[in-house]
Amino acid sequence: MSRGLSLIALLLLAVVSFGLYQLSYEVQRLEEELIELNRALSQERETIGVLQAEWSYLSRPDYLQDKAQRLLEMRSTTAKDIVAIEALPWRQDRGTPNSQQPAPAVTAPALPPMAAAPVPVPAQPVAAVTAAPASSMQVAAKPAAEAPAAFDAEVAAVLGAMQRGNDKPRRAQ
Amino acid sequence: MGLFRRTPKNQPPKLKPRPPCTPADMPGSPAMVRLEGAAKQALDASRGRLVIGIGLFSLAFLLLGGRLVELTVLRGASEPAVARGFNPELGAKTALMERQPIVDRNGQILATNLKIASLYADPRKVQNPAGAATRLVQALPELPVGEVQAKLASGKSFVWLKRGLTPREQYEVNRLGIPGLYFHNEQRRIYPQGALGVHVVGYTDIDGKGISGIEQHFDEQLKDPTRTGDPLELSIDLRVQHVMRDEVAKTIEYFNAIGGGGIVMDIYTGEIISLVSLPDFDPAEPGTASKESRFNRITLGVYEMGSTMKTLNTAMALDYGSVKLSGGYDASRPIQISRFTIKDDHPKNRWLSVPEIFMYSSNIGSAKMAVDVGPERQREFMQRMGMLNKPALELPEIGAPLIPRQWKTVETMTISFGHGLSVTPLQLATATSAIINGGVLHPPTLIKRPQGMPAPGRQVLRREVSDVMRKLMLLVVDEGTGKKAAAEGYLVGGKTGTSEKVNDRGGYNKKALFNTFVAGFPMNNPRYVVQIMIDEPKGQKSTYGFATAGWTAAPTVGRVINRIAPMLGVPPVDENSPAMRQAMYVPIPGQPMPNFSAPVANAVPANVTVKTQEKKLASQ
Repeated sequence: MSRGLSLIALLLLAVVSFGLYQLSYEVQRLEEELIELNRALSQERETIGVLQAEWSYLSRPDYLQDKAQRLLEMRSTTAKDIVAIEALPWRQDRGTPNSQQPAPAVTAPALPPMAAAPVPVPAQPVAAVTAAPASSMQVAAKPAAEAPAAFDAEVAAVLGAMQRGNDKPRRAQ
Repeated sequence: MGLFRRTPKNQPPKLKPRPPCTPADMPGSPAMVRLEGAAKQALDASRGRLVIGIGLFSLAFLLLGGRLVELTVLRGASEPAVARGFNPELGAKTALMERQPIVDRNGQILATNLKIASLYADPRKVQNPAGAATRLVQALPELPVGEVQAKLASGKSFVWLKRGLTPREQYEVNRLGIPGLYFHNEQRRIYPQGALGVHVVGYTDIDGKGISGIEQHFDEQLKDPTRTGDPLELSIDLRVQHVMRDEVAKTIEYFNAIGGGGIVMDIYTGEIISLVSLPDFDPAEPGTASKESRFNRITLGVYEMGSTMKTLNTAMALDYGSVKLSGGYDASRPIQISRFTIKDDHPKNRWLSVPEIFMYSSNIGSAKMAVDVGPERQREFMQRMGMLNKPALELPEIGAPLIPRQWKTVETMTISFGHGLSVTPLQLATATSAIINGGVLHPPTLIKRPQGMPAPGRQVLRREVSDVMRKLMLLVVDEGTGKKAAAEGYLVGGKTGTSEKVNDRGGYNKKALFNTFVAGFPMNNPRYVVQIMIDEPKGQKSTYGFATAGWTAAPTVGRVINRIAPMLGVPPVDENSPAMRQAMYVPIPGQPMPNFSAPVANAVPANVTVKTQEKKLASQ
């Protein structure tokens, strides 16, 4: 009886110590993995930080303004470029609104806007809505009628310069 | 296995009993051992020690057992909750930074820390200095070959080759794989926007300590390691900041001025959307900047604001009720008081109503208006509008106003048209915000306010006065001295101010002008104050030699508003529509009421009606 107990105890001791060592090694391995992951994470974050700074640098308003004006023939948004959807007239080929629904006040074409009664929002979708978005770049496209080859060449030159990555601006020193 | 050998049972220990002392003592008893004397004592003592020993060991095992239960079942408090390899700081949003980034209200980075590698060499480990130098120079073309080779051949244990490499340069050098070259990593403060916003953000010294602007004011907070990665959000909008800088710089150049500045403020929160002071400098190289360019004209400079103070003066008179809107003063003759003569720059030589005094910027009328209020109440009003205290803003560079030593009738008169009291442009913008926002003075701030939170502020003016002041300021742009500030599609109201700067001898210099234009827009539902200062502009041919605010600062304000209104989401209106003209109408005594239904002669066909959008804005 006592001898059996002792044997079991001995066996248990062996199993437990084996398990303990296994566990300990496993923990060690996992910790190393964690450290490795943390290092990779930290590196990725550093890279993100660099890219964010670079993005911020490349989207400087004065830089964008210069490029937009010289290469894209854009100009600043004016009040005339912004139209409220309610102020858009009905499309002519859809028939007069009178024939479809009784919506007065929008039929007369050239009323001074403020004089007109508040224009009701049409129940039916207005076709061809082209509200100019107040974009963050504060530029609205001007119809570029002519797109000369010189313009394309200039764009290509700028793109090339950007790809070559002139580091001049990094202000590291 | 001797330890586990079975002991035979029921075998009494073999004792060699001593012969009993006296057989008579124990009659008929079996053989028993009876110990006495010294032997008995020794046995008792050893038994007692044995019990103590057993007790101690049991206690120890019990403790161990208890600890085992605690560690496994209950989990001890001393057990670390997370693995040793876990770095809690890496749980933050961005990489470990010694200093938090600073961003504008849209998240655009104004200042951030980057890990910068510096290249050094251990020349003792460089095998072929000449070859290494030629290859290294291919990656870093700006380094002189000879110098690099000399350094690599020097035999020292440490030489710097280049400080502050870009990531790309570091990659190139790494790719060469030259033995004996190493990188030292350090963090450096980077300002991607350059000079844009430098007077707000400020800069740090070589050790990363903030020594100017927001960087200095929030130095502790920016360095706080518990907040690593959380950017500091400013109220500045970089796009608006750029427009302001662009336009003010153009005006300074055109009029050959020595400097200038501009500020855009949200009148309902006190948030500063843009703060520009020119000339400015690149924060990457503050050492090369002149004293002049480091000076913040908006918050540190104090100036006699000239006629822009008439906005405060008129609001004051209307608020105290010392004159009615329909009232007025005789402005036909200059005022002589002590050694001063108060004249009008745009003389009408007749009785002027309050709206006329304001729109024609009459000094005589304003002075008389202020005298009716009196020095005591004027001082009290200026105090209330924050004109007599150093303004509180999150910058170390704040100037205190220059208040006259004595404040009597003469001072009351001169202060009414902006002389004798010098304040920072920031104070004027803050007070003007209160005048047009319904009379609530909000302290200015450079930090973005959380949305939906009411901004702190106190009522300093009656609401009705604020309503009237909006219309009066609109009148200045429509018909008065500020016509050139008009921006198509937006109702701009403002006030010009041209003052002569004090020269070295204490007198006024007629040639050195300080121009200010302070405007609010859109006046039908004001949201922003735009204020621009131009320092010492010189008259140009196209302005007929004039260099007053109406010719310099006013048109700049108009251009700025035209460009920033779409960015700020201000819907355009038809400013010439009869309904709008009627809403903003101010009756001027002696002038007939216009016919609002008739189209205006110079009306521009606007294509917009924005009633619903206006309502949306009003409800915000």
